[in-house]
Amino acid sequence: MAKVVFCEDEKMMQELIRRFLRPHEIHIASDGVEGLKMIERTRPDVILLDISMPRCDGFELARALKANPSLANIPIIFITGFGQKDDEKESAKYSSFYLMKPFGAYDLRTIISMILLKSTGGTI
Amino acid sequence: MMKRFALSMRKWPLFYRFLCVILSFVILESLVIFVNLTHGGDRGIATILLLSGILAAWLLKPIKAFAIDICFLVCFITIHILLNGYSFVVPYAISIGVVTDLLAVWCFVTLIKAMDAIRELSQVKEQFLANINHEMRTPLMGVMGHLELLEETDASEEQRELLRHANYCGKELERLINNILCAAPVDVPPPHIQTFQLRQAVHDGLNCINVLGCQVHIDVDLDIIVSADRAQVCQVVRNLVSNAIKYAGEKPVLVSGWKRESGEAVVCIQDRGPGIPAELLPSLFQKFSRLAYADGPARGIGLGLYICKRFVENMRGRIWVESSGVEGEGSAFCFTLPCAL
Repeated sequence: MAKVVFCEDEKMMQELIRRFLRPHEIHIASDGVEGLKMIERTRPDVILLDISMPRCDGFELARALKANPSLANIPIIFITGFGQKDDEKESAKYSSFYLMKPFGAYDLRTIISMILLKSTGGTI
Repeated sequence: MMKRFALSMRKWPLFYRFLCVILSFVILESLVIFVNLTHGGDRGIATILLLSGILAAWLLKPIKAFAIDICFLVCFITIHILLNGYSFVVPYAISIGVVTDLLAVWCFVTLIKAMDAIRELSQVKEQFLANINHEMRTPLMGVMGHLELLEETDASEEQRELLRHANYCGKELERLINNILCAAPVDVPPPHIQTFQLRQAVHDGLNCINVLGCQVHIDVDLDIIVSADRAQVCQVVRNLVSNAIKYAGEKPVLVSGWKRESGEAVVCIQDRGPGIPAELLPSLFQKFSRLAYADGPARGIGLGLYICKRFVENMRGRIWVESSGVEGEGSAFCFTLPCAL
């Protein structure tokens, strides 16, 4: 069981990812500013970020996280609909994972279990 | 050749503008000197040329380029006087020279402006395509994701069959969206080279393809490890197999892969469809080229093979088609990829 924070403005995606990640504990924020507060409060194991969000987009939020030493080591999974190489390059800067819509429950679950395995000291 | 020229023109617009102006200057200056020599003091010809020049310049006036042209004009008058001298050139000739020079500059500026406008339009088109792509992906994700969740519930065998069909359609839609996205940019995105097992990538690319009565058999050797862009290889295989299914109907499609002694991997997608007439083979990999079916009009958007070719060549591979055009013998689309080991 992992604690996940998911930042996404679209209601449908929020519900879908909640179902994808059952029975993990998932907290949902609808924009970057709210997301940062939620991450500071809940200290999740994994963060899922949509790249395009109102107020503060995924990359801005990631920069804010990296600037904070206590949050800098939480793994990030970026979600994008654009499928552009620039996004992929940008997300690689945060040593993170990158998923392009549409992705399946299986893909997301695999990445999260990989991250959990790594954080508990196992090897991938 | 022309494409390369257009690209370099796009890269250094100022350089080409300058080149055009210099060229026009040289050509027209020699013309003016020629007119001066042959018709020295002929008022009639000079007036006609002057008037037609003014008329043409008025018809072509691109007002916005005016500021730049004034600078050129000042240079031209100076150079003109330096070259021809006050004493040699009667006032008419100076006017003819200046007007024709100005006219030429205006023509070239108009041309370059038109090219800029075309480039801007093409950028708008790309941005537009990227935007629709993004907008389409989110609802598609909703459809596919919920289908996947439905599959996890205890559905009956019939419901599962229906879900498989819906899934297949979703995958096809995703493929089309990917094709549009890849065909949009002028500059080809560079491949993201990884090392992976070819067989697994082919299986992933063909996920959910065996529905609606099609039979796709995969026979790719286990020991092939290639270095290429995995996502692009999946897309190429899926495009080629989708084509094969479209044309071959319910006849089996064979996907085979093996390693050549030269160290490259070959993947062949073979169908038993109607084959392709020889005269259509050369244009097959071009953008928006579509084949008509034996029993109806062409379908699809004509981007699949074009993208396959671009992807494969970017990964240092080759792609080709073999087809005898004989009914029932079908066609084979093959491509190569560099092996990692």
